[in-house]
Amino acid sequence: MDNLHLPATASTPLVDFRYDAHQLRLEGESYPENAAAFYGPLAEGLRAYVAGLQGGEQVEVHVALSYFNSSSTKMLFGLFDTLNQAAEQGHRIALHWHHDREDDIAEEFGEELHIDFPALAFHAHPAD
Amino acid sequence: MLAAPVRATTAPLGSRPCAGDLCLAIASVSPECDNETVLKLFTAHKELVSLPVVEDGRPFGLINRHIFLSQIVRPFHRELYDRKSCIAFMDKSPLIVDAATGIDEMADLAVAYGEKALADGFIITAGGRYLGIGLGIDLMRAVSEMHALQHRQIVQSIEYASVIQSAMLTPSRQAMTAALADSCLAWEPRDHVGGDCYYFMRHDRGWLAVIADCTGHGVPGAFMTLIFSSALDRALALHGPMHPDRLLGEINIRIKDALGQVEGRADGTPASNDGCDALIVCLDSAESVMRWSSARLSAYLLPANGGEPVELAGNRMGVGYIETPHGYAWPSQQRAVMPGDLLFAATDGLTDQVGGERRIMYGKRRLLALLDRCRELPMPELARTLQQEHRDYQGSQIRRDDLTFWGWRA
Repeated sequence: MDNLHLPATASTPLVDFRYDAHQLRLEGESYPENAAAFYGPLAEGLRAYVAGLQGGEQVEVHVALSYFNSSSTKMLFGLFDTLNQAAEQGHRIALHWHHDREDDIAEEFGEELHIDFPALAFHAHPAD
Repeated sequence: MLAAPVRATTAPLGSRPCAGDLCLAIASVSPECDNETVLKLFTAHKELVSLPVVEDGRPFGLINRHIFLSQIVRPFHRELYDRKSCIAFMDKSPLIVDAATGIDEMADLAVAYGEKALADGFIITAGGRYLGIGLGIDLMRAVSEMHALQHRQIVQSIEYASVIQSAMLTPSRQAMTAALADSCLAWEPRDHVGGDCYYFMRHDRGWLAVIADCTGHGVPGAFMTLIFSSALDRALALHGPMHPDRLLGEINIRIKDALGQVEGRADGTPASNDGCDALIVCLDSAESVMRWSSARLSAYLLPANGGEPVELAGNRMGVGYIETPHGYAWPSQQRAVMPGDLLFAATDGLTDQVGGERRIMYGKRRLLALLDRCRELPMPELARTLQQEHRDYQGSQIRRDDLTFWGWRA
């Protein structure tokens, strides 16, 4: 599989999916006009990726979004759901949630993710 | 030598802009023409960028002024080439387009063809016969004018849509102002129209207030508010204005049915996965009780006795959307209302606006601190203070989403 790399724009985050290194990074803001169209290829790539996991890998997912609208939220939930299902099948997947220490919206969203996707090893990273 | 555009005066209004609009019917030379004649033409006509070569009415090539002049002035070239055919320094494969080619397609062709087409121009034909040439600068001008026109059309269309959306909301605003002595309401769509909407009605036992934040913003958001509004009408006709939970349940069903939200449709097209966050508040004036149901929409109560602000319990299930079950039942909550109690609800456009020095979201903490600070102010003044602080917080950042808030003091 080819790695997926999309540079950040004003309304879409950096997407850096290194299948070979088992690492996915999302960074920036997310409010595309058509969230389904933007996240579609990533969701598809992610499903194909988890289907090909052997079992011994440690998957690291880093998310650092300073703004995400409700349509993006739905898409992110879809991605985390795919990861959570893989984790339930025994794959080791860590979700690193990076947010500004003073950003209570992002902090609270992270807490919800922790509750909603219990199979993922959740790590909150408040930054100064 | 350079003539006016061929179609400039004849193009009927409303016709699609095309390559023919750019056509300059300049004279051409035949392949038999010698280089001395070409040199004279270029010397006499300083504005001539390229000279087309045409044989029996069909384009043969294009002689670029600078390439030609730089070649002919080389030592002994005049002696060697003056009497020879002009095809010696001619570009044998210039870009040739039919006059009927649309400007957008024309621009793509020119870009794909490379710098040459923009610098030298291109030959325009009709039915394969030479008509004239077009220049890169005129093509750029035409593309720019076309895009400006398209942009203007879209903006005017949305501005008109905004008249309709505002008209739909006006009766609710008037009813609220008439029924609630101390209240405020702000509705600020990000792009003239938006996905936020509100509804208010007074009835013989009290009143009903609804705030909704539909999927998306702009035109798709506005479409959703119309669907929401029609779903709410049906729900009110069926359940009356006293049961927020039943109303949310019914709206959910109506939205899902209206958009055919069933997973895995037979034709394989992606089903709509749209819906809204919503808060419905029903006041029973006889019993001084308010009942509410919330689907992901934040609301706060600041008690009249000066007690701590509390967030009204909500539910994280959205209304509509594929994942929400068809018959989903939102719980309803209730509490006694004391004179002076302050209720405040807002869509996430308020709390999620990026700004401040750290360029992070405005947040609930900041909002609650402001509400607490302003809890004694009349609601319109509280609203102005909030809007001012929020604008200052936003600073030079762009608005990220539609924004609606509603406040009421009992």
